[in-house]
Amino acid sequence: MAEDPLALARAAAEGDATAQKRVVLRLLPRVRTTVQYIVGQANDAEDLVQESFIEILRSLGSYSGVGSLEGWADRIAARTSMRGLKKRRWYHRRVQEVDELWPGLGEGAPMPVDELQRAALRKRLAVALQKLSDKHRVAVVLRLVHEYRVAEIAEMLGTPIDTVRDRLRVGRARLRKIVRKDPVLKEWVEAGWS
Amino acid sequence: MTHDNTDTRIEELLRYDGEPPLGAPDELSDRYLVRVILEKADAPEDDALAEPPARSRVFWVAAALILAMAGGLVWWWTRARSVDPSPTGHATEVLSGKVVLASQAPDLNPGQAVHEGEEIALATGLAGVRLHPAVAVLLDGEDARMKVKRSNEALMQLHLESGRLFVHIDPLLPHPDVVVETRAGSVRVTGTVFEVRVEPSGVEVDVLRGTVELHASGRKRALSRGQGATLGGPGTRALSEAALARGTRRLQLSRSILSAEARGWLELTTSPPGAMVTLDGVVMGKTPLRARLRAGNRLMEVELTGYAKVREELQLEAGRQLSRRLLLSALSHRRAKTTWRTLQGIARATVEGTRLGALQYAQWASLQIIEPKSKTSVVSMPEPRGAASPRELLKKARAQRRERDWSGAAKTYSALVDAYPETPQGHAAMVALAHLQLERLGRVDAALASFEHYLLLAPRGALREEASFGRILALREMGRDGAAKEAMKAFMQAHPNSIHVFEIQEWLAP
Repeated sequence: MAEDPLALARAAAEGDATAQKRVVLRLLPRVRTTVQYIVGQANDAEDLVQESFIEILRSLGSYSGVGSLEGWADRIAARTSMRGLKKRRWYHRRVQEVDELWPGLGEGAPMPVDELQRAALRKRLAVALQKLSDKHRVAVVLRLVHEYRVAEIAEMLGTPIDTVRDRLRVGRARLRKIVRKDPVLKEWVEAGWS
Repeated sequence: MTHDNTDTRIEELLRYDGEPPLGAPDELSDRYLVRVILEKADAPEDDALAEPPARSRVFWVAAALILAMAGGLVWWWTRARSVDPSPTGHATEVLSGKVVLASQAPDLNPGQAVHEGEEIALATGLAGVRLHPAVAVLLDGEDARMKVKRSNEALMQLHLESGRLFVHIDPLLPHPDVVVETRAGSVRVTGTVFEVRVEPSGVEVDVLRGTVELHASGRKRALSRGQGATLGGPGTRALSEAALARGTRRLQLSRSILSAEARGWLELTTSPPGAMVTLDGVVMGKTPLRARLRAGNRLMEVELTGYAKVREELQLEAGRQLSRRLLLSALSHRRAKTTWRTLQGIARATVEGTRLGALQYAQWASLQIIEPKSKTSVVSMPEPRGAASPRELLKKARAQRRERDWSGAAKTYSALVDAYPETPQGHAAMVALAHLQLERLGRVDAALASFEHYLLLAPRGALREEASFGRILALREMGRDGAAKEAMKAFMQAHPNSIHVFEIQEWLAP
């Protein structure tokens, strides 16, 4: 039986350690997904996942039960990731240097089609997403990964609806181009396999 | 190919299905992550509190600038005058065992600096050394030896002669590139966690986080998270669960070494307790208080109604604990004689934290406490209880917890336990009090007694699982491993479906 999110949040907000643990375990895959898509580096993402949850647990008292607990957590995860990106841009530069030095790692020669699994494709797409600007990427992730409506994204990010709409339009167009330039992703789109 | 088709395919692939795109770490790392999150979310750290007002921020920015200028001046003066290379400022911390510096006869003391060019040899146990604010290493293994060949802001060059070296570089802090040299080649990184082992058969490298470059036999290659390889050997291998588990435990240790750099602990008790403490104008809570704080000079103010305010400049050292015990001076001598009234319960009298005795009352009673004339003795008593119901007391304790007034909440729970020991609310308060003592107040022995008290009083109580688990935590904290192991086995039998089972399995694993 699914747990009542409001009761769970209230218990956790009152300091019930078991409830806090349940909140983290319940939201962990979702928050990790959001952060990984936005940040694009698994290692860096783990630190931001941690920061997101600290923020989530400290703010649980403000969850009113309107809307899903997951949606409420997505908002915090997206904002924490954005803050993290700003703070740690210098670090990304260093990591990129490593990646450029070792192009054979992860990005290597196109893998044979029949060996590619959905997970590998998704990872490739997550890496491709990093070529979008932060603002475009966050909008695209919230829309395409979590399927939020434009108005919801605008509210989450505290941005006008028209701006979000524009970021989505530009972000999707750029992502299309990136996908079509990537030999593996291009083949996957054209061949229709999954 | 149409745009629509591309969009549809992208949407299909991106749609959330519970699987993070870049994968999730192993289960052990997740357990560790959950634990860290819960600890940090509740930790009374000052940076978790509200930002100081703008005026105060301007003050600190100015202070930081002045300090930086003064620091620069001192650095310039030191460099200009010194003939021998100055210590590189490496702080060392011996976690266990015996560690010696090859160039010096005496054993290495915690906090002692390691100079560039120094060799660290390990006699027994495990040595933890912080080489840089962002770089910590753990050295162990038979006849383990390493040398700090070069250390500056751009490059840290270490030579591992024998043994195991676990290296943790915090990627979120500015850090030098780190190179670990061995007889078979070297490992170069820019921000990661990995282990190098010099074994008779070869040199093994395991990567727990990030990516490293292996340089051996004139060629270089990359090794990433979750992979291991032999330096100079072909291919890679996936890390075993045992290696990951060991890595996770080591990561916990190395994190503690790194985090000790910039923070210190403050333990503050006052007589009488319950005084409000502010640090640099930010409210920290009521005494007794133990908090992890930024190192440096901090202004502490302690206030309690009826007593003189105390202002003190504290010098908090990184990685050290500062213990202060303040005796508050009463503003009026009229408090010399105090009459307390209690309702069916126990009144406790303590002098300077030492319990003098307890008095039990069956009905309303009054107790007269006369303050001793000695300047250093103050008698403190629990607040007199009115006719509050158990429900009201529980409500009060919860409100205090929300306010993070842990000592106040403990006091309320304690009053509830004393007044209504045989009620369900009294039982619940016993467990809640034990958790507070364990997790917030650092009173492990009291927590153990409270958990055991509950288990004795409520053989069929609804909170047995929580109390039994709490007892295990307290025993582990006290280092009573044998008793903790017994308790864990009993717990697994009594509560096989508990949420705590996976943690206990991990602790029981060899």
